[in-house]
Amino acid sequence: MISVRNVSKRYGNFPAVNNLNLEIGREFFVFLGPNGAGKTTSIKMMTGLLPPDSGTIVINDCNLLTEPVRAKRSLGYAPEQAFLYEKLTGREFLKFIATIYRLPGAEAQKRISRLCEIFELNDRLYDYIEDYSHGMKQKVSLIATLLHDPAVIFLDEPTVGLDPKAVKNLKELLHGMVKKGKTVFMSTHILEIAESMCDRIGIIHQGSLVACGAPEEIRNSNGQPAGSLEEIFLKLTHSETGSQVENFLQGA
Amino acid sequence: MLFNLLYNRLNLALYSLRNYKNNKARGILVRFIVMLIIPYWIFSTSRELFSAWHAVPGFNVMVIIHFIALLLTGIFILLIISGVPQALHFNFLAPDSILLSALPLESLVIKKYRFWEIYFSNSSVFFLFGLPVIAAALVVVKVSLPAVILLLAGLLLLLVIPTGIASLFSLLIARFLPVKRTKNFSSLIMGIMIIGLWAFMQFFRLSRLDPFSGEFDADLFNRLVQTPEMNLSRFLPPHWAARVLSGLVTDNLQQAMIPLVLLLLAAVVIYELTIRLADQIDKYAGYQTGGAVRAARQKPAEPGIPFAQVVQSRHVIRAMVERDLKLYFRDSRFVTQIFFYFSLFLVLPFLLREPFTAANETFAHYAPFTCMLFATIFMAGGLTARGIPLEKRAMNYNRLAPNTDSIYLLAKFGTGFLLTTAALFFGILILVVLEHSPAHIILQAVILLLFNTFGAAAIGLAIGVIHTNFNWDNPRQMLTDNGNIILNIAGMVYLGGGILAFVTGVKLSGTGLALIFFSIYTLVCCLLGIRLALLRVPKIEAAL
Repeated sequence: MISVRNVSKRYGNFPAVNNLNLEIGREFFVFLGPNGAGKTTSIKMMTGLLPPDSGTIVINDCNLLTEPVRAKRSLGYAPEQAFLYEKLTGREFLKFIATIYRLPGAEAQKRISRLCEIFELNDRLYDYIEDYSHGMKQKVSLIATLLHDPAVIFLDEPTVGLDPKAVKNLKELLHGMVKKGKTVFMSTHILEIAESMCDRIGIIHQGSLVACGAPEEIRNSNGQPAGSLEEIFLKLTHSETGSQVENFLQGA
Repeated sequence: MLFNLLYNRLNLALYSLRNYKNNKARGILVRFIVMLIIPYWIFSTSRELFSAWHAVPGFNVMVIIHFIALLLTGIFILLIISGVPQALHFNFLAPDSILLSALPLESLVIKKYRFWEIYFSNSSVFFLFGLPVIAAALVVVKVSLPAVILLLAGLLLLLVIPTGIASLFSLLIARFLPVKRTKNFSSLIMGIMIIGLWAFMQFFRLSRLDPFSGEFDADLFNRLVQTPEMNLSRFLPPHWAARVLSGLVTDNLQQAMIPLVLLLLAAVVIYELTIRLADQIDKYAGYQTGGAVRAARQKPAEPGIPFAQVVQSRHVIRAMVERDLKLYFRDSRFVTQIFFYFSLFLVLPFLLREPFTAANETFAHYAPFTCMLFATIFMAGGLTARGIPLEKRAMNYNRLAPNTDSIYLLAKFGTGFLLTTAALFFGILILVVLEHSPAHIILQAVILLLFNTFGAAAIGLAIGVIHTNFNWDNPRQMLTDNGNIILNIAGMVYLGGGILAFVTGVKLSGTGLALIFFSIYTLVCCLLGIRLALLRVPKIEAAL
């Protein structure tokens, strides 16, 4: 469903993504990495928002670079920060999204209504988005992503700002979608969510993929079959912790 | 602590002055022009006028005092109106409110700080437009330095009063109306007032008050001399300030001191009343009683335009145009801008008709419509160029959707064209009613202006795509610095080319060929603009 081959991206002299290769099927894939590792850049390239310097990206058997319109029909993307049209009401916004994804009327109405029910937004749909809280905006962004029933769903930190009930509903919804044969590609910093939800994990560090596989595979290949994902993540990304905190506490 | 907060605010203001986006030098130059050149121009124009009055035999200094009193009254009213949205912003919507309330400060200190923020932010109109006129008056009537200092103190006290009144209004409004909407609405009223004032100033010439000018209007001048003594406006604070000036120029210190004390008392009372009332409301009634806490909007009875059952490209374009229109008309800043464009279609034909007619008498019938060429270029170019960054970073949704770039650009083009055409027909309608132009000229003008709009909108589109800035807070920042300049230059070059094409047609054969030449020229520009925009639109993502 997602095939990323030899994809690279530089910002000036800074290599944001370096020769990335990924083959993702109908599964729940979690993309991990420290801040600035290249996660969002990779997702933006995979969703067609950012052209890669080199390499090819295939989404649902369509080359994103040569057939962008076809490829985009089957993908949905919820960015980390929900940028919405503040001067539209929630309903106007979702109706607009349904139209630009060419969703037929009756189906659009039905899906908007059902998704708003899941995320408990029906009561506020006629309010302007500028009056929404951060969490509500995130919910609208998620509904907009799922509205056209995409085959491949990209989510960048989707749980930020959501209340526990919405997080639970989202998890169930995504699991259900994977069971129905869709691909979910999620980037997160919350390792517990990653471990509990994913089929496979990819870890990116300094623009390069340093590990990819099921959690057990990654544990075994790193010689820590009983280790936590957190320990393996920190080891793979050379992130030292403890000493700085200790020094600070001692100083304080 | 109040001093520290104000010092920090000053530093922030200086920082924004030094770091004007990406282009420091031009940013500073622009601010320099606004902050120095415009006041200097007002100062020199006023000085010329006052000197002319001074040179009239039997000159009475009260003419200048009355003029200043009228000016101060106008600014005073303007400051109250402009102060309401400012006060609503600083008291209820400012993004640093949470940070301030988290600081270990007494709430009264925060209220004082807010008051002075509103004071400085709102008084810029006075410093830009009022002070230079008063300075010119002081130079002409030769006032001593201590008197100048006293007058300045009086003026600074005077500015406290509209700030206080506006703040009190804002506290009252916040209890009953949604703050954000009311702020937008009052900004809109303010914008319309300023545009109305601008339109009025285009027709009202100061030379009508110049006794040495051919346009001198003796009646108007006499009314200026007599009016202030006749009406109740002398009980208003601006007249107290004028009386301070009057006392100082006539060396009557007692006459100057009484109104100065009155100003001081009024300023202190209103300042104390404002901050204490704000503090009490904050303590006992909550910060945003009427505004923020409100019930969810009721579901409208009519569901609006139903969804299309089969979604085609035209539905997508229509949805994008509708969205853009909503984004424009729900933001008071854009409504003001559109109102300004509409007023251009009214003002320019009458303003520029005389010079055009004087240049060529046979051109007289066409002159008002020709002036509309400028307006269409400004409006179509400006709206389409700003249509791209209008969506801010939500523009992502257009890039993610399975639609071609041409659909997106066509929608942007359509919005600009639609609004400009509406303004155009409005302007033509007014002209037809007032001027009774012959039908064939109206028809020619409509064709010419519509084609002109095509080209101007496409040029705006290309510049909007190339020079877009999605991270804007103020509509002026929607294009990069270069973008704004290039848009203006490109508009003028485009107009020049159009006039050349038209004149060539007229010289070769007549109006018919001129119209054909002009139409071909505008269509070529239109296609080039759209083609350039299409080439550059895939690179927009980098800005997101």
